[in-house]
Amino acid sequence: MNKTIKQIVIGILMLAIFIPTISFAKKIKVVATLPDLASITEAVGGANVELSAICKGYQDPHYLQAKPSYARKMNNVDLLVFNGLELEIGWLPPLIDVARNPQIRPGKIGCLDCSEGIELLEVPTGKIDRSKGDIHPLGNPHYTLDPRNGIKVAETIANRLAEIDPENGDEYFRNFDNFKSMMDVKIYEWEEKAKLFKGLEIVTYHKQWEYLTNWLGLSIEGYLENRPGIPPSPRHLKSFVEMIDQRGIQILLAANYVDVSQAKKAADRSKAKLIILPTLVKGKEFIKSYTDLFDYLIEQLIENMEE
Amino acid sequence: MKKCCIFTIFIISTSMTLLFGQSTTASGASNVMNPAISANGLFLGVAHNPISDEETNGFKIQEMELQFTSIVDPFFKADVVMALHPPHDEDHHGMSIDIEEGYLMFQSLPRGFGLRTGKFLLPFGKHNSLHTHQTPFVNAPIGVEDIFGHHAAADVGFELSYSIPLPWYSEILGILIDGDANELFDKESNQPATGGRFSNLWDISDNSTIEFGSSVLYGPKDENSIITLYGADFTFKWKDIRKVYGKAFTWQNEFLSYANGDHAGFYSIIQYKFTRRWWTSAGFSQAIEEKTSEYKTQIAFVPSEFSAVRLELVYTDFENGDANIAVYLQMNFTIGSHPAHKY
Repeated sequence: MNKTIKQIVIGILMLAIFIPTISFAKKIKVVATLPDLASITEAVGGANVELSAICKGYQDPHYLQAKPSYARKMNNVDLLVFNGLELEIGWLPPLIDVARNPQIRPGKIGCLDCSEGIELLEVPTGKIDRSKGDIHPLGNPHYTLDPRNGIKVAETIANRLAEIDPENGDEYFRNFDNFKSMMDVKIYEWEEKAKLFKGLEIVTYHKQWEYLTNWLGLSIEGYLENRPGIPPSPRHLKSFVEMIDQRGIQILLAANYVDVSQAKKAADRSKAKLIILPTLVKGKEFIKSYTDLFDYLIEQLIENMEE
Repeated sequence: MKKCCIFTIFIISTSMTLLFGQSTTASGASNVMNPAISANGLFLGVAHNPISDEETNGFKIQEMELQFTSIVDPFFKADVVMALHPPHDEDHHGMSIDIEEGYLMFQSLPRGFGLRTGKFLLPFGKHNSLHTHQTPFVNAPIGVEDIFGHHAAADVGFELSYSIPLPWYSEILGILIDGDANELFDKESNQPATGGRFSNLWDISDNSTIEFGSSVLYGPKDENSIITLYGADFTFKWKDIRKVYGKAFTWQNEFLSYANGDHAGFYSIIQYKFTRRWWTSAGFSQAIEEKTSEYKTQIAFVPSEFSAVRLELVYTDFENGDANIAVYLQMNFTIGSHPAHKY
């Protein structure tokens, strides 16, 4: 009997020692504004990171509502990872205020702008105003559509995670190295496949595909939105359709969250084929990671080219 | 010779530093740290039938608002909102200038806590926390206006808030204010006023939320008595999040009353966005003690988040059996870097 009690006591003591180290090993809590950034953070942070994303893959990241429930997600995190370049300016600042988390306030270690170090496209020069539509004064913010930028973002995130959690710093850098090696191989494969349509002239709905087309060597010849964020006027739609047919352009590219009725009108009235594609991870149910996104984008471009 | 060369290089380098460094250092004219500045204009055309004693027919500037927002230093963020508007009393002409809000928000409090100090719109219910250019209709519902007056009530003091760590969004806050807000309290009294708000918001789906809130204000009515104002509100919001320019719907309700039953009012408003650029709204409000009811309907053309044109019809039914019909045409624009509105 005494032996049994002794064994139970020893068992409880063992559990008391090991349970905290197993169950309560502190994870770095991260919230990412975009699912792309969440996917990259997951690759770099690995098991040390507990992750959530705000924007869904099928939402337009420009126009989220600043729901307090999003602020709830941000209330107890150690790190906020965001796209920057004012992509989230319409909803992130009030969320940061409502979240009441001093760790993620601008300037704090838990506030990470992933656009740092990115080679930006379309940085406006000269005077800008809103007569030009919803332009981004700091440059085109859709840089995650170039997977080479994804690698830079991963490095930025690894550095910051190591700063916040130095004990696991080596692991974050090792994860980054693995991610980079994997991406280098994938980028080579994607670029090889994309040679099929290099130099192809296309048109797009919104100014958001530049990083992708710049990387793959496609040429954007016009936009259905002649001013970003402003729907096309009937006059612009007419001249846009004429331009498509004159130039023999075959593809009109649109994101899966835009108002496709205008894009359908343009495609119906011209010889161009409308291709609706996701721009973010989880934009389709089966796009679960950053690499899945590019696998799908390249596959769709090739498929539609072949048709 | 060597010394002379070194001296010459020193003089040249010092001069160059002074020359190129003086553009901002000497003049102090750098604009790098300027706050985000925006202006909002509300132009109004009004026609009452019969002619109203309280509001003249014609065209007027309803309000011009200037807002400045910036991080002050690692510890504070500041917001200043100034409004130019026609004077609220008939004895004055021209335009009045009000500091609608001007407060500091503490940035380094423990997690979950918020503290602001300065002048702010009282966090009572849903409608009172809105600036004029944000209100669903041109004027506040009569049930709100009967208690708070023509303009949202603001006062100087402190607001301490706490985000309760629950699976849904839950916030509790308390205020300590000077007691000088609109006509709510006795301005001559030296006693401060206090208040609080408790609100909870649930995501019932990706597209919709419901929010329940309750508010209280407690302050001096005169030297010998205290007044207490209670409020309760319920809001339902729906928006198809898959479509940026898709349909949206809001249903907002609020009831407010003095504890002694002096005044009480409520409103119910629905807003429906039926196409990319068009909204329609309808509302009913009542000032219960005054036995005055108000019915409103509105159509709004919203080309972008920076401009809107709203046409509104208001029917008011007074206690004595009189009625008034008013038509409003409002132009609303925002220029500059205006901070995003809260949900």
